[in-house]
Amino acid sequence: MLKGHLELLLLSVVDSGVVHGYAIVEELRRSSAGTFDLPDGTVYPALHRLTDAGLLKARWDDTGARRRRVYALTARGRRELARRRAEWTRFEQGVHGVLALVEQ
Amino acid sequence: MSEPRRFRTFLAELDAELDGRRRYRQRIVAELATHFDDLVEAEDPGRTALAEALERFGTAQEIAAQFNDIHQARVQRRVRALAVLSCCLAILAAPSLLTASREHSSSVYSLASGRPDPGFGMVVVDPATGRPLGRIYGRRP
Repeated sequence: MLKGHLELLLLSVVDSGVVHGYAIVEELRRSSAGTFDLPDGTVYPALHRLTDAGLLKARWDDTGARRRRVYALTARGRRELARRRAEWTRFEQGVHGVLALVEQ
Repeated sequence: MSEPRRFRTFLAELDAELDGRRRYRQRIVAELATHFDDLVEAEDPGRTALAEALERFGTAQEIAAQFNDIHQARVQRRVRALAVLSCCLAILAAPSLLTASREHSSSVYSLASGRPDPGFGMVVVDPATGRPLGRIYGRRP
């Protein structure tokens, strides 16, 4: 179920200001209260796919104690995030509406 | 096998399994190495943390396969772009080439058949797929 939405989640986490791989994995786990406890190895290929698609840009950051590969949204990435977020909201509202029929 | 040694073996296996140029492979391996450093630093430092980090990551082959899919997709995109570019260049260059060869082919045709050459045509083919993209026709003056 997560497979189709991993990219949306990653774009959203990067947009929130979390920029390097380890922190992205941790933030996914923390903000989803452990629901998205992904194998760490799956996140890096997904980040590379998003970079390849022009939605993220990556660079090495040497300013901290350790050299890190950091990610940021591109302008196209921002547009894509907004589009997918709206799509997800519509989907969520639709499912909620149908489920509410049972509760009534 | 000790954890630091397992870790080095993991990175070496990953490097060996990855497709692409050396610089690209090194970038991936270096990025994952920093992830391990972060993991070990965040948990209780020591051998157990590294062992757990390796468990969480999956095998080098599994990770390399995912990166290799991305690499293959990138290579295919470049090949397609090159094919389209080649077609565009061929279409642009075709009239000049046909004009240049017109006199030669016309005289060969006329000599062989004893009749005036009726005209010429050329099929432009996509080099990637082999499918015809269109035809260019010309009429001899």
